Amino acid sequence: MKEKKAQLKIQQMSFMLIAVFVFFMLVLLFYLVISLSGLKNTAKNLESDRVAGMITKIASTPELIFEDQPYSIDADKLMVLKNQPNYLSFLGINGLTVERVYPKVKGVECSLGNYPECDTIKLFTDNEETESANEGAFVALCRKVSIEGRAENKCELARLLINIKPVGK
Amino acid sequence: MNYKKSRYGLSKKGFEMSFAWLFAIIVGSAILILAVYFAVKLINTEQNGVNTQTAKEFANLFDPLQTSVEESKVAAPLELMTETQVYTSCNPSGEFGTNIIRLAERSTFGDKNFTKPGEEISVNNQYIFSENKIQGKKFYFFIKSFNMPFKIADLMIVYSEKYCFVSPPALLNTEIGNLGGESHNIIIKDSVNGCGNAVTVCFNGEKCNINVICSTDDCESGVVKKENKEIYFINSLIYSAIFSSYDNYRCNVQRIAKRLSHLSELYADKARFVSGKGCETGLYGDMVVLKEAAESYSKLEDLTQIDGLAREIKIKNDNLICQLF
Repeated sequence: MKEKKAQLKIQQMSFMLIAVFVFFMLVLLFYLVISLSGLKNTAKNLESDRVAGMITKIASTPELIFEDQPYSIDADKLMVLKNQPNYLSFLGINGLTVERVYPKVKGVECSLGNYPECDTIKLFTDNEETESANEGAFVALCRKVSIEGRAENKCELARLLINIKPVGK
Repeated sequence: MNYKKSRYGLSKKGFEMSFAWLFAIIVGSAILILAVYFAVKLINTEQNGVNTQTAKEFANLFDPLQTSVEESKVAAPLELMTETQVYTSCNPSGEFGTNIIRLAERSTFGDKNFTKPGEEISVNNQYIFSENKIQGKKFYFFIKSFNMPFKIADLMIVYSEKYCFVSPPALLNTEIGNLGGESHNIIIKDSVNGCGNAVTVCFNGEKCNINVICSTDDCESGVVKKENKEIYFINSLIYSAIFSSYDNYRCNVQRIAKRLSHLSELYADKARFVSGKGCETGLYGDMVVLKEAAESYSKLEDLTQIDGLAREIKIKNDNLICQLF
């Protein structure tokens, strides 16, 4: 009778300890889930801050800027940069597209053969679809033109879109 | 209970511990030890995450702070919740080199020492000039555009200490005055005596923490003497030389030379490209020479020679009808 009572106490104690252990594990899991979901949101917010800053930065980077004019992109430099993919990692982007908004010519992509009679200059990207269509900004797309033997600057309205590297890739 | 005497006369009376007690103590302490171990691990991981996240935010801060037409930009100071150490280093290897930022916050538990720095955040398109380790709750920034002869980079200057400029040359006096003044921990005085415990920067040969020896009246080039090191500068690099550690400065200037080499190549290609469209600049050859000079950069003293080439190119470009940059 005495032995049976002791066995029952041990069992009670074991169950109690297991229950306490499981309870703490559940609390830990709950905490981890909450904190990880917070981490995801933080990463998203950081990413969106990064993109907003990056567009401003790219529009005024010396490799793209037109004669130190703010928010003006040099179309001639873009055409030259088409052959220099080493800038891809430097700018921290997957690709860049500059779309002429006005006046639109034919909606065709620029190449050395059809430039400047074209609308879209794509750098470092072959994607048909621009992944970050929402992450764009309006800029002036400028180039040198010869008018009656005189060189002049010609600027047109364009939209700068960037394809960014997702966080963790 | 019926206690018996042993045959040696000793009493067997004592504390009787049942198996249930023993089991509870052993398993209980195992659980407690495990719980404490995981809690400590979790706090450390969390702190590492916070340090890394703050370092990333710190690096992101610079992105929208680029200059375009303006020569310099003063950013609002960054005020953190807790005292923080910011470690900045630089790696010149690779095509453009990198700056590395690490952060350590002061712990809010126990001994309140600084925690272990978080993960490294590296940036390859920014040039951060600061001491190797800066510490405080408030950090100050300003950005200077660096042109040679076209814009090459934005110099990001970060500091936390108070700097006192003693009798700077007239042109610099105006520039320094525009760096935010006392609210940005920068003061200008006529003599070291008025500087208090700020880091003193002298231009007149007084005994200061940092001494600037200008080669020209407007201080467009010269040497900054700091911690027994002679740091050569040109143009806006004077601020980088003053606010940065020697190692960070030397490495970042090397990175800037690499970028100059790439940009000169880009402008050489552009010169050739636009010449076929009625814009003959005649600067292709000069750009190639500038690219080669930047490529062969090896020490700070080389800056003067490259700057000489850049000035010649600037004069030629300014006189062009169809300018290259």
